[in-house]
Amino acid sequence: MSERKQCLDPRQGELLAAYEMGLLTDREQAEFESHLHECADCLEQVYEMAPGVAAMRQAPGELAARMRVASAALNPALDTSSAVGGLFARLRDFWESLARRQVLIPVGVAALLVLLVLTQLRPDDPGGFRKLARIEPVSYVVLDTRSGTVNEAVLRFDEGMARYAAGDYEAAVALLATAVSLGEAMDTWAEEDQAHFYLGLSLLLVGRVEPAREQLQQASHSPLLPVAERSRWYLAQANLLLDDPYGALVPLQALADSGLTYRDRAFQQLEELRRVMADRDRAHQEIPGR
Amino acid sequence: MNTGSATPTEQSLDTLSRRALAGDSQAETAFFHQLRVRFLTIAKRRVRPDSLEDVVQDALRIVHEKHTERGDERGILMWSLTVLRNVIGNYYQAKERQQRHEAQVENLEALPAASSLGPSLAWTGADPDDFSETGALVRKAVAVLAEKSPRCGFYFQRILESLDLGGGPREISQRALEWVQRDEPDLTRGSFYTALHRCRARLREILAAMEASPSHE
Repeated sequence: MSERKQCLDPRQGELLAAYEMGLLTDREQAEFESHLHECADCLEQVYEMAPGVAAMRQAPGELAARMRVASAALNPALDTSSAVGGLFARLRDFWESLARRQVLIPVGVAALLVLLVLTQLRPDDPGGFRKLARIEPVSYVVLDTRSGTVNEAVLRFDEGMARYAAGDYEAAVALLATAVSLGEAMDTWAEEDQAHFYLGLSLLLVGRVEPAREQLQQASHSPLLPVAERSRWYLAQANLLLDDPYGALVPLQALADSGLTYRDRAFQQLEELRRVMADRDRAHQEIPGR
Repeated sequence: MNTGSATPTEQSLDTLSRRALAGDSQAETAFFHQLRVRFLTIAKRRVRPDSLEDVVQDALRIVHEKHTERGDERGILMWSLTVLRNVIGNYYQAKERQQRHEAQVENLEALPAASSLGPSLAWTGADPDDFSETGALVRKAVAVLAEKSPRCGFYFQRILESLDLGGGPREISQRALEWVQRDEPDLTRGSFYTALHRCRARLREILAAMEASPSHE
């Protein structure tokens, strides 16, 4: 078995990731694949990542939502859609414009200090609870047949769940919110609790935690045990993301006491949560003068 | 004279695959010829010479049988290499079983794990379309990437969102770049690809660490 020779063509090497993600034009793609014909090193690299890339391209929407949740939870400063992200971008632009004009260094130092103070004012995960949250989509199978009364709310619910099952959580949020809204005008409809739950979960998956919590809170009172149980679990996760450990304790304790599917997970997370809370209390006590 | 047969420099494998599926027999021949060359390059470093042709033919057979069922028109090479990986994984497992059997007969100590014999088996599955195990690994890996390297997470997230919206490669690429440029207005396409390449290396490291850790699930 021969040793692999490293690729010496940096351009081809840098096309590799773009190729895998399907970003190259047909011409560039053909060019790169021609290179793969000759270069065992680049071919090896594509081979090594092939299953991962294939899996990524199978459900891009779902993975993007996961990344959004992970980065929004831990690095809100990098969420460029937020006002704060915009503030950081403007500060950076200001700094760059100063550098271009060669303004005196003390001014730059002052701007840097402002940035540092702002960073200190908004720590990424102040209580250390967000990193405990586990957000994973619950699988849902779309059935072709339906019995009983079909109305607008039910139709929107079905459409929303089809989008949810396809991993398109943004579209699911819009459709499920419509279903919930239409359902409120009715005396009762069978999917009401489920609609609140999946709307809450979809909101969570696209990083809108606060409205997600409201929906999950409502669904957690469902008389349907599986719906109530799932809702409590995700309500706890939403509260962790919102840095509200006590809000997470209550549903987790309920699940640990009487849960079925989520019982073990709830036990485990309760332990982790109590440990982080104890660490935080200890750290507070160790600060001199407190 | 233009015979209509495609050479690697003229057409991508995706194009050849599409033409083959549409009934172009010359494109089909060119497609499988090119795939075979690449499969041999990969497999010869991993399997014994007397098994090489069997492994490659087995993988080509599966590609031939299954690629009509694929929905995604692009990424045929990645999918085909996954098939090859699974076939090689099965080869190692068969080899391990045989060695274990021989070891039991000779009352020897336990054999090295399959992973030490060749490529990691954590990525392989029996069915080439079954990405459930890999999917679970990748779902965790991208979240870790977003946490450990927010900038890389940001790039990948924009690309995945753009892929999710669909369209041609130029459209997907341009849309992702424009989204990234809202935050980094000076970023050129070339720099974007360069940064993406570095981020890919980070993702690979994370995946490798997860593969090595039995508790990744």
